[in-house]
Amino acid sequence: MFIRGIGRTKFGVLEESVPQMLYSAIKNAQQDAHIRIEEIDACIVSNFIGGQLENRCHINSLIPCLLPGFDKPCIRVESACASGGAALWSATKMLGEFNHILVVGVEKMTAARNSLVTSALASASDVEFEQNRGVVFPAAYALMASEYFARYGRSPADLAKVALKNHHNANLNPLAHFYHKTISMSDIESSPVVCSPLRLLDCSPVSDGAAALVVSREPQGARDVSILACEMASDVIALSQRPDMAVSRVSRTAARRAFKRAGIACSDVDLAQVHDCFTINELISLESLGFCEPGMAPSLDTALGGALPVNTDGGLKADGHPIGASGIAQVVETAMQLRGEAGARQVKGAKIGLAHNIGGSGGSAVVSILKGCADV
Amino acid sequence: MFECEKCGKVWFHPVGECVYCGAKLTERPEGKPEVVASTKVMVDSPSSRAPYFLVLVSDGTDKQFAISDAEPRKGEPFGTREPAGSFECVGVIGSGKMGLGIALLLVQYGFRVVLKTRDAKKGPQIRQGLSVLLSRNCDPAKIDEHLRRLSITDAYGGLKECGLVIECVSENPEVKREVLREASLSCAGIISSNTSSIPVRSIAAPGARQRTLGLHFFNPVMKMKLVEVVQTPDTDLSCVQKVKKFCHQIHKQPVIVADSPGFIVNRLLLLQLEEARRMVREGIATPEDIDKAVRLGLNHPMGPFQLISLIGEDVVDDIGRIIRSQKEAAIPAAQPPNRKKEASDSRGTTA
Repeated sequence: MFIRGIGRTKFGVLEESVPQMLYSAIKNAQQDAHIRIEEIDACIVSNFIGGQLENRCHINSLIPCLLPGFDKPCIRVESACASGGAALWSATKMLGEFNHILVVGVEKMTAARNSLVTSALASASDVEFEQNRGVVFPAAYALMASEYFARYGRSPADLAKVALKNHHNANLNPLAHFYHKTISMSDIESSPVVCSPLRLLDCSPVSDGAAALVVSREPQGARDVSILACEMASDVIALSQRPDMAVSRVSRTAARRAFKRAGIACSDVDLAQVHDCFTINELISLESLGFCEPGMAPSLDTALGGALPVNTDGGLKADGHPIGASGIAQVVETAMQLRGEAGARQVKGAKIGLAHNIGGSGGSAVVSILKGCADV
Repeated sequence: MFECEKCGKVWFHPVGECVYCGAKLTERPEGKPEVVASTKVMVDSPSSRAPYFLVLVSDGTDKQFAISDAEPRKGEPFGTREPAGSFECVGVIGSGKMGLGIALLLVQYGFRVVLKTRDAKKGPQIRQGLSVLLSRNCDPAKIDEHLRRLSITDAYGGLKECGLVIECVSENPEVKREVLREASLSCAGIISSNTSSIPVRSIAAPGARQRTLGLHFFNPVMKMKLVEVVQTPDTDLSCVQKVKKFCHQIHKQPVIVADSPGFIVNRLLLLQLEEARRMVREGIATPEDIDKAVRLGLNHPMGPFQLISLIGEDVVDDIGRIIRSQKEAAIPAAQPPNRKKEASDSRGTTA
């Protein structure tokens, strides 16, 4: 299985509508893949809260409107913030049947009222045991951070370093939400508290955007990126019902399956896109994915040029988090890096990359391991 | 409806280029719409309250749904065409916050904009600043496209081709009067002022009063939906109509107001701010509690003292002075006959 084409829009506060963003991302991926629309056998659309924000469900049926004449199967896949990863996972399962699948994710979030966005996002959590008891996502991740600090003697300064690095990476990515914005350590440390101990600059932004992939069963050429593994795992939806808040159990399960399927070890990975919806999650996830011992993620050298560059496009934190598109954008970035086409933020000699996408506070997760084909 | 110049495929969303052959899409001119089918709807929908008629109209190639209050008959022509008179090119005078905000908004909606500044040497600097602002919500490829529609000049002659000029210089009657005089000499289009409180008639060029009106945008221009369209006793109705349509094109909501002190928003706002200050002087409540009461009890996004500190004590004092002095001068303000006429002319097009 191969990623044959990639495409995306700018992430941020955009003027474009859902159909326009979908179209741009699809067109970019189609041109990048050098494939005719007629060759595509199916389309999977990843979208999380179009239903709540715009009353826009059945979004899969927009595809024939954007690709006139296209009548192949189209479905929508939703798994909260892991919708993009789940869409790619679905595609890999469908490649037994089909040759070429278009995977496209989109979210339009900035046009809606803040209160509506907040309640729509909370729909990724449990109704009886979370939403009805005051849990919002920043609060859930804040509790994870407190537990992590207490157990490993870490502090908000460790989170600030994650934010600073990801903002720096976004400054090298012209399509990132915060490409234009320079953030200093003091900006981070003086940003308002959202849910203690998390500050505003520990949180990913509300963004619009779309990203697309053309996934094919057979290789096409040296610009292909091989999908060594794409594995999904699930866990109970409510954070309170999981045994350990300082561990991402669902990520650990998905990663173990993915590494086993790929037949490689963590040490073989050259770069990773890790689900940093909040800075704390980058640290916890790196540990749960197996890149280091629990409590040691702050000591990893994850900067560009470091031992394991993480979130090279800025991550959800600074590239932006248009939910349905985020998991797909992680794969777009990984593919760019493995092709050697990432420009100013290129990781030298990157051969194997990992993308990690979580739904909610850890009810679902997808881990994909990709390998460049240039020297295969 | 958008059609590929090469392969003839059709899109209903403005998507730019054909994904099949890469050719540009062109918007198909609309024909005369006729009623093809209709139904009387007896349940409320998200966009309209029952009862209403849902109509399917067709111009021969393109079919669209529309809402009608009156019962349509199959085969009959549907609706009336919007009055023509959109502006291809708009002039903006002044490169302060409001001038730049308006220019930026207009280029994003596809208008050609001539920005008149006092010093053309600042052109590259202005362009750079606008490019940074655009990068916050635009694809990098689009930024150049938007900015290509903007030209910057320091000569009034540059406004010659503009169908509409919007003056956004400092809130000083002498300065505005001179700017409007120059603009009226160079441009035969509609002349407007973005003044927030100066009577428009008092600054309009005497020879151009029929085509002068107020066009009061709010700060920040990108976010605030309201535009006060200020109609003086001399302003032609056709100009008001054109400007109203223009506001809708840029996704703003126009309100029509007679040339009067403070128009609608600042007249009400000033009363509130001054009353809030008086309450503090009288020891009725603390500024913090007044802010809280207004936020929670009137559902305003911020209280009067927060607002005063946002716009500045001095600016509030200035506006207050201008509005009070005008009220005392008892300028003949509203023109009921004109207002009624405008209201009846617009009936049906805004519903």
